Amino acid sequence: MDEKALIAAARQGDTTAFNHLVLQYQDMAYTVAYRIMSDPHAAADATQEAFISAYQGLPRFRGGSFKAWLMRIVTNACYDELRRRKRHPQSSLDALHVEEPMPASPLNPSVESPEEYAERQELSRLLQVGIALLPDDQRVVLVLSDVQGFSYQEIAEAMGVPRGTVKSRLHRARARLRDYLQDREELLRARYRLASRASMQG
Amino acid sequence: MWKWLKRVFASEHQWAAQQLSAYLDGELSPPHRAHIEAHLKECQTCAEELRTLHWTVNLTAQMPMLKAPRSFLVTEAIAQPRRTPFSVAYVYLRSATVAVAALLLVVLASDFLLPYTLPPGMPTPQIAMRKAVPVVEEVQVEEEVEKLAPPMPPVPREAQAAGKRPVATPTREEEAAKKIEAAQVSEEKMAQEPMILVAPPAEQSPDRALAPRGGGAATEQEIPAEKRVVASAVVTPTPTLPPVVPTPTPLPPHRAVEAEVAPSPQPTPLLTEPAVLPSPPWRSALRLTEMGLGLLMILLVGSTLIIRAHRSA
Repeated sequence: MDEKALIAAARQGDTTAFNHLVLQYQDMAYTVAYRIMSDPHAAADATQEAFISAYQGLPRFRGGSFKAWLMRIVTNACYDELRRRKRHPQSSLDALHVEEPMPASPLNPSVESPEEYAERQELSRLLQVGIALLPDDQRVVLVLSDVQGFSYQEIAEAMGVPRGTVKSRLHRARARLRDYLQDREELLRARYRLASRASMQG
Repeated sequence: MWKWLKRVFASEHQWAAQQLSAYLDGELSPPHRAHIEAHLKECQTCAEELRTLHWTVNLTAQMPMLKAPRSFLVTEAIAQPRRTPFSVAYVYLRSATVAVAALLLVVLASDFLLPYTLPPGMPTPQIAMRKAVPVVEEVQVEEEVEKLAPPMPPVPREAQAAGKRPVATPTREEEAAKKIEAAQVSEEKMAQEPMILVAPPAEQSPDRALAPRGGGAATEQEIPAEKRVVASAVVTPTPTLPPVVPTPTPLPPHRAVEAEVAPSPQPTPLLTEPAVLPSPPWRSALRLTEMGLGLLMILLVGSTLIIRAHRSA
């Protein structure tokens, strides 16, 4: 069944059809939640809340991009969790000691060697720390745009903000992350450094 | 001029710097894109800025998609809508809003539908009050006169017959006049019937008429029969006194002032046109109720909208 048929069946109360959609989008939903929350347990809770809200809110879905609609629910669930954590602040070091979860795609030797796979994991861990230090609004925009590849319009719909706001927030987020990476460039592998022509082409 | 150019260039540079990310993502319109490209050829700072931004975007894109640590499948039990505090509050607020709205409509309808005018032909309370006032005042005057005037001593008949007016204070004249009138009425009645002092002579002997009572000596003098009969025929009615017109009793000073201030009420014809009544006191309470319900309605609607926004968020 294609996505539209699954959505139509799920709106009629077909839980099995909805769970097909869950299996299709749960990795992406969890990735977005983790990149925003920087905590695997909080990300799992936010993802579960988002799918429950999506199932209960299906009657209000009026067509268009289901992915953008679902990501909006995931983003709102993450915002709620972030606000709750602000009311009960945790230690600032917890955000830095992130444990990178298992990637969805296993190592593919035909694409990259184990060393390259490990270097990419290390880069991801460093980037996650830099993203965790961004303000909430900039972090969400950066994750949806640069991590998930959403367009400006899809991000505007997911966040419920104007397109111009997305553009300005994204520019500021990239500038701050760039400054963070340039300050720790020595931690990056050679092929990831700015001075290297290979990193520009990669 | 150089400062002006620098200022212009600085603002254009700042604008261009803000557009670099959108230019990188292909989100600029063709005119803006051309302008940026022209600026990049002239501005090394923006060119370097673009290069570093491109490097950052490339690195971020290499972050892998993560695998969900567990299944997030939805079951029937999990998918049941939970009654959060916001949803419970929303239900109650919505019900309260509907109830207050219905109550406000009822109060407004009663305010508009209740009549302000009386049906025609019905006397207004003002006229009824005017009619009732003189009766009350007269009774009060009479009561005051009775209180002030001491009880009158009985007036002897000789004084009445002589036509002498008893000497009385001004407050007693009216009382005395009334008694005189009552006495005259009774005398008139007596004059119309012949006074029989003794028994008819044909029927009784004089001796027997004067038989003493109780067997004792005769207490009354024996009256000759001829004189008795003559006396009965000669009896004439008592001369009546001219009617005494009671003069109006002067009122006490304080009552006199009130009489001057309040002219004697004159009966007025009943109004046939419906009169406009002043609003009764309960109508002001109705207006206050309307205002209170209106304010409560605004508060409930605002709260309901806020709770609804929280639920949808």
